Amino acid sequence: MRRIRNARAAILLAATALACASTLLPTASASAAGEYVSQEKGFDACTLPSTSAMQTWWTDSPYYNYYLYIGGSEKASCGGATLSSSWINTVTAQGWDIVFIWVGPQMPSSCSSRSWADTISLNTSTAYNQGDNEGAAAYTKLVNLGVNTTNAPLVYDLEGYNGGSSCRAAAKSFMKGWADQLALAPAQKSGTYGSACSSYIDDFASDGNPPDFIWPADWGNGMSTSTVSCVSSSHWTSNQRHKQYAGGHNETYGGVTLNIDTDCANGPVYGNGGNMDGTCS
Amino acid sequence: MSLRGFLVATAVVTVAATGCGSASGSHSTLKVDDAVGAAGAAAAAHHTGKSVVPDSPDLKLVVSPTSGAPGTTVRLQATGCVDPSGLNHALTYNASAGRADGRSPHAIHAIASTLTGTALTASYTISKGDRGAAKGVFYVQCGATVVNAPFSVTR
Repeated sequence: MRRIRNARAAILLAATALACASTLLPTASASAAGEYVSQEKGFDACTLPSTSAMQTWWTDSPYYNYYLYIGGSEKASCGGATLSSSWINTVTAQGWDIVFIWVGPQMPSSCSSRSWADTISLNTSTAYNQGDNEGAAAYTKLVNLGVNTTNAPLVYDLEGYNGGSSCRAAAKSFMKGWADQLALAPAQKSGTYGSACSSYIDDFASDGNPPDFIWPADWGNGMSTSTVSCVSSSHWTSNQRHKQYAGGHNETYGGVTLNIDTDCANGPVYGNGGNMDGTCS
Repeated sequence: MSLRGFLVATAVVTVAATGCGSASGSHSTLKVDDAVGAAGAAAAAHHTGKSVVPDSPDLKLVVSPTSGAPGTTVRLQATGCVDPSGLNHALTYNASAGRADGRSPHAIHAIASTLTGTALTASYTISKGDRGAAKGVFYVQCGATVVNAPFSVTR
C-alpha cells in the first residue's frame, strides 16, 4: 500500500507542476474548481457533448450537474467530443458541476445475464485487489485531466447482476478495494453507481469502509434522493446520494438534442456548487 | 517511510506550500460540511447565466395502443406542450428501459413529431429490434418537463 501512496505522491507532484504551468494559459484552470454539495438536477450521457452544446444546455435546460464518464475497460464507446482538461475547464467555467464516473470490470457471466469482457473475480481477495487497482487507475486519469483531485467525487459504475451469495461477496470486496484506494491521501469522495436493487448497493453499507456516497439508478420512483428502492433510508443520509430517476431518452434545449439519463443530486459534486435549493432532497 | 517516499512527500509539500494559484482562486470555498448553511449566496452565484425554459405543468402523453407485436404502429399524442419557440421539445422510445444489467444507448430512438400550438403528435412503428426487453418506455419532453408512458412488446 505504501508503494501506491508513493506513486500517488509522485503523480500529484507531476500534476502540481502541470497546474503551475497551466496558470500561463488564458483559460480557467480545472484545478481551481472544488468539491461541493449539489441538490439540483443533472444528466449523464454516453456520448460526450461538445462544449458548445453544453453551453446551450447550461443556458436553457433545467440541469446543473453533468455526470462525466472518464474511462475504464468497460466504458462504452459512444463517440462525441474528446475528453480533455480543456473540456472540463470549459464546462465548469460555463457553470456546470461534475461527478466523475469510471466503468471497469463487471460481474462475470456466472453472476450476470450480460457477458462482459473484463470481469470481477469471485475470489474475494482478488476482487479486493481489482477494486484497489481500478481506484488507482481512475485517480491517475483524474490527475491527467488536470482535476483538483482532493475530495473530487469519483463513482464506480457497477451494473446490475443476478445476485447470489458468492457474487455479492465478490462485489462487496471489489467496492471496498475501490473505496479504500480512494481514501488514500489526497482522498477523493468514493461513490458507487448501479441499479438500486440488482447492483445490491445496500450491501456496501456494511463492508467496513462504505462508499462516501451512492448513485443508484431507480427509474420510475420519483426524483427524491430520500426514496430509493432496496436501499435503507438510514444509509448514506448526509448529503450522500445522487439518483438516476429516468433512463435513456432525448431532450432538446435551444435546438440542441442530447440522448441522456436524468439525475437528481443531494451529494458531492466538483466545480462551482452551492446550488442547494432542495430540488432533489 | 522509505527515503524515496520521504523525498517524494517532501517535494509535494514544498510545491504545495510555495503555491502557484489554484484552490483559493475566484471560486467560493463552500465545502460539503458547511454547504447547507451558506446556501443562499452560493446559489445566487451559481445560477448566473441560467434562463431555464418554462415548465409544461399540464403535459400529458397518451399512447395507443399500449402493447403490441413488432409491426404495430403506435400513435402518440401529447397535450399541454409549452414550447413557443419550437426549439425545446423531444420525443423518444427507449426499447431497453426494462433492462437492469446495463444501458443500451443504441436502443433509444428519436421520433419525429409535429407541434401545433400545445399539441404534439407523432407515430412510431415497433420493430423486431425493440423486443430485447419486454418493457419499453415512450418519453416526451416539452420545455423543462418530461413525462413518459410504458409500452409492452408482445410476440
